[in-house]
Amino acid sequence: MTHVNLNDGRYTATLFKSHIENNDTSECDDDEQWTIEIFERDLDITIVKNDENLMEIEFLNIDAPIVNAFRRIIMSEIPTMAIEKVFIGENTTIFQDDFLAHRLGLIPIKADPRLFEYRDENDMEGTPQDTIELSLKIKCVKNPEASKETGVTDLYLNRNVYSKSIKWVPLGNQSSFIKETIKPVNDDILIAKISPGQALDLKLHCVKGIGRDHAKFSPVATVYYRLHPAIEITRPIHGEDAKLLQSCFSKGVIEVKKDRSGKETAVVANARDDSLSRNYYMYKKFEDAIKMGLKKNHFIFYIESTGILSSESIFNESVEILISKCRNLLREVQELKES
Amino acid sequence: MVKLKVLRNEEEGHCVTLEMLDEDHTLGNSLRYIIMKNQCVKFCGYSIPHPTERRVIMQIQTYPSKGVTGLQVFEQGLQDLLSICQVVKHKFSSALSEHSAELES
Repeated sequence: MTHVNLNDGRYTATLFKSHIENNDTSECDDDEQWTIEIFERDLDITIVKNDENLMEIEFLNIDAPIVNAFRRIIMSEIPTMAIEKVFIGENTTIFQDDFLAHRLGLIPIKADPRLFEYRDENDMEGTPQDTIELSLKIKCVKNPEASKETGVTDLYLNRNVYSKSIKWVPLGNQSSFIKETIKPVNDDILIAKISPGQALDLKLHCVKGIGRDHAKFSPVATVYYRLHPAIEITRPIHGEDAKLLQSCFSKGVIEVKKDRSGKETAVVANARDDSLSRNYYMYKKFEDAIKMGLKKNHFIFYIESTGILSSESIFNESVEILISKCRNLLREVQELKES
Repeated sequence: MVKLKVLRNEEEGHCVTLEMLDEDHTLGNSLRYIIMKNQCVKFCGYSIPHPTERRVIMQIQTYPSKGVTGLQVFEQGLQDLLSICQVVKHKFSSALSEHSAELES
């Protein structure tokens, strides 16, 4: 565990019962001129977790405006494909067309957005380069196999319409440049529950878009960051009090261990997992025993992907987008200087 | 499309007000932060005059004694932000390979 110094206000903001101190970021009080070399020397990135849907990244020695720029770009500027137009051939379910269309729009579609172009807003037809066509055709019917002899108890088929019923209809030469079959990320998203005789026959158009236009285009369920907590026990807490103190924090944050004299003592085991509830303020006796803060230069960044893009490509893309923003403006500054 | 416009350029370039179209807090705040890091800069601030308009107004003021203009400082800021991105990109990819190597071992 890294050494925590809660007394150094440059690196830690301290939380008190009703106020915070040293919460200003280091951006104003630098004595040294900032250079990219210093930044490169100090910056440390660690990947803590890289699961299918969750990536956990730790940034050391970076400031909020930069991390926040990545977060904002991931949320609203990375393109994905989503259902945008729904052509209703038949809808005899109790769900209104517009309601159904909205539900369909929110289903994440596993398709590589980098293979497609943006479609013009007024274009109703679409081309193989900017549109993915999907179809959803389903009817709730009597189950012919249901009888006492076969033991099948489901009287009807397709009572539930799941996202797995959405099928890809390749347009033009699409099967030549799209290697993976396009389908919803999850097969088991319940779209509607329908009754016998009711049917759906829909043609769906997916287009490329970004989260700023509509949240359905966002590549993430959520993306957020928090600062690393710092906890210090300033006077020894023994016995029953140690157990009580432990219960004031998230699981695993405080451990009760025997100290050298054999007394049960509370120690900080893992400050990282704390939720900052500061429940110890419920007990007067702990008020002076705990010092708590946040490390201002230590960010824990979470990317929860919807599954369309992998978390690492989402992060990489966000960096690329910020780079291209800078490049575009640099070019315009150049043009301004020349004119 | 021209996105950048100099709205005001006063006191021999030491005070500039720039307009950036099609941008928001994402670039506005990160750029403000990095420009503030420059010791030639006395003041840098930005505003988004209307929340539904994608338009950022940024004002930069430099110390006349340092001999750089606001526009130069703005350009340097963009350059620095670009370098930050490249460093992050590089360190992220090495962190990724480190992580996957750890998983294998």
